Amino acid sequence: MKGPLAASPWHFFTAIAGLAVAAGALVALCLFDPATHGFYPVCLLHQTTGLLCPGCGTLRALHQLTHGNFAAAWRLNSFVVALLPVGFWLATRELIWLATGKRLPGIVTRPVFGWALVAGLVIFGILRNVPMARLLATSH
Amino acid sequence: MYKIIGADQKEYGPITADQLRQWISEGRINAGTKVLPEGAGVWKSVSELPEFAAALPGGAPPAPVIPMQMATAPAAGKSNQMALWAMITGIISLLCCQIFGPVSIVLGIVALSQIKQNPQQTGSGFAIAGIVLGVLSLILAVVGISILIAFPQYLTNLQNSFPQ
Repeated sequence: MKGPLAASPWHFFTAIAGLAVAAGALVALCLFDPATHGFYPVCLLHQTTGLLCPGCGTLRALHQLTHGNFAAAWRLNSFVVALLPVGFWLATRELIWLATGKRLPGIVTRPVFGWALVAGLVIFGILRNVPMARLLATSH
Repeated sequence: MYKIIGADQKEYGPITADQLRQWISEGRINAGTKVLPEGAGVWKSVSELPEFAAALPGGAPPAPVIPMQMATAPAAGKSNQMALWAMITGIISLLCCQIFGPVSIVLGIVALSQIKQNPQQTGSGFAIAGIVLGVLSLILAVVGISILIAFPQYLTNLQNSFPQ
C-alpha cells in the first residue's frame, strides 16, 4: 500500500473506524426493521408536521434492501435508492485513494451536481407530499 | 511606481523601483524595455532613466526580453470545492436530515484550512455558511428532540392538524 492509509496513522484509524461504523449500521439495519423498532433517529419534520421530508424512509428502505426487497425499498424512498450507486462509487473512490493514493475521477463531485442534488431533494420533497404522491410511488 | 511593457507587448505594473531593478537582474527587463514612470505621461526606455543606470548591465545591447509571468496581475482565483459541499450538506441538514450537521461542520472547517493554505482559492463564504448551517441544524435537532421528549401530547395534536 502506498496511499495515505499507509502514510498516516490518522487516516488509517479514521478509515477503519468509518468502515466499522458503516458495517455495524448495516448489520443493525438488517436485523432490526426501523418500521418496528424505535431506537433509530427520528425525522423532526415528520414528527412535528406529519410531512415527509426528502430523506424520510431512507433507513426503512435500506432495511428492505438488505433483505433483497428492491420494490419495497423503492416505495419507501425512491430518491435515496436511486442515488445509492452514486454514494457507493464515492465511498469506493475514497477507499481506493486511501489505499493507493490514486484519485479516480469524481465526476459527481463537480459543483453543478451539488446544486442539482439540492434541487432534486426539494422537488422530491414537494412531490411526495402532494395528493398525487401515491401515483408517483414516493409515499410510504 | 513604474509601468512597463513586456516582450509580449502587455502592460505590467505599477511596480516599485526596487521591483524593477529586481526584474532587470532577472533578465526580464533590459535597456530597451519601455517604462512609464508614474506621472510622467511619456514612455521611455529603461536606459533613459538615470535611476536604473547602475542596475543595467554595462553596454549590453537591447535584446528581446523573456516573456514574463503575470507577476503583478491577480492570480486566477479557484473556488474551493469542499467549501461548496460544506454549504450543500449544510442546506440538506437544515432542510431535512439534521444528522448531516456534523458532516457540513467538518467539511467547512477542512475547507477553511485549505483556503488558508492556498490564499488564491475563494469560497471561504461557502465554508462559513456550511459551518453555520451545520451548527444551526444541530441546535434544531437538540431543541426538537427535547420538545419531542418533553411534550409528546402537544406534537400529537400538531400532527393531527395536518391532513395526512
